[in-house]
Amino acid sequence: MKTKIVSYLLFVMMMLCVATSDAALQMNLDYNMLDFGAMNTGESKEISIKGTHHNTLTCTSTNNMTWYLKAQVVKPFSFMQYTIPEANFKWTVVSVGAGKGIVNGGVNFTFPFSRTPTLIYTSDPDDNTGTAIDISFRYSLDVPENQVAGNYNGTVRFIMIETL
Amino acid sequence: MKAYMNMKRSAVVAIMALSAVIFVSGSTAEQATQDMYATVTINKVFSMVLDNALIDFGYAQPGDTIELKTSSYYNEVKCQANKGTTWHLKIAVMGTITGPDGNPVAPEIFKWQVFDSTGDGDPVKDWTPFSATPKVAYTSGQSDMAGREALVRFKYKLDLPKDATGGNYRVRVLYTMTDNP
Repeated sequence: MKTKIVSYLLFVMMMLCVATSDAALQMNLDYNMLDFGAMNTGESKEISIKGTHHNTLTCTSTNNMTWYLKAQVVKPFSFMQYTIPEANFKWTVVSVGAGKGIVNGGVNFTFPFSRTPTLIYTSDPDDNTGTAIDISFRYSLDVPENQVAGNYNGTVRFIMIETL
Repeated sequence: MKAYMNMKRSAVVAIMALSAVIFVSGSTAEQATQDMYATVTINKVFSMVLDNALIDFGYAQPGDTIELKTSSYYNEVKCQANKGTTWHLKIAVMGTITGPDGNPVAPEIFKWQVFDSTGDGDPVKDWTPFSATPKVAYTSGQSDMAGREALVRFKYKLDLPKDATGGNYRVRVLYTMTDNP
């Protein structure tokens, strides 16, 4: 009896190790820098250094489960105690490659970033079997009329997750 | 026998508990994350525009007090700065006030005051005699120093002494926007 129990426990632990060591959700960002350069107060600028887009997130899932791509500002544009409102920083999905899912709000429509995760893309069942889905973005920034001069930096986090 | 049964029961409970833990952990949604780093440099602004550079009292008689636009302002200075530090708008006469006979007149006969401003700073609203040394007319507030445009509106008055000569008096006025108090 003892031997059976120990064998069962070892089997379960091995399966758990296998399950956790082989991540079925993968995401790669081909360029993780976004530099708007020098801007004047009241100026708006759109960045797409690769012509049609700025960078591409490649999302792959073999889980056979719907996944969601979200984005959130984890650090707003900041300089000393000054910040640029997140609503002035915007994203646009320009293409989804082989993806057959749904772009929240549609392709080529622009939406503001937020500190809370915002839905960008919902996968189709065809996206969940190992196909690499290339989601390309461009970004824009509207500098407020009242913004203190300085070098601002911020961080955006993209999240690929199986819960909405 | 009883001890063996207890051990068996304990083992079954342990296995069920472990299985439950594994089930819960296995059903937790997976996620992957990627960060993107963004930068921008906001350029400095420090500018001033005067809408009307000519202050003309017309012909003044000895003993006259002439106030331009009694119920409103005469000219305005548009100031904008986003350095995040306090700035000041100063006003002074350049050189001397010259009368019709070519003789200089004391600058104190010429006065200014801030009528109002659109900023959140501190305007000098009392009649103040001009001098060759720049005097602070307006000190910026928090919004003014963060880039908001501030309009500072001025009024002017001439008090010509009774012993002065009647005529047209001329002077150049200097407006200065500066970080220095």
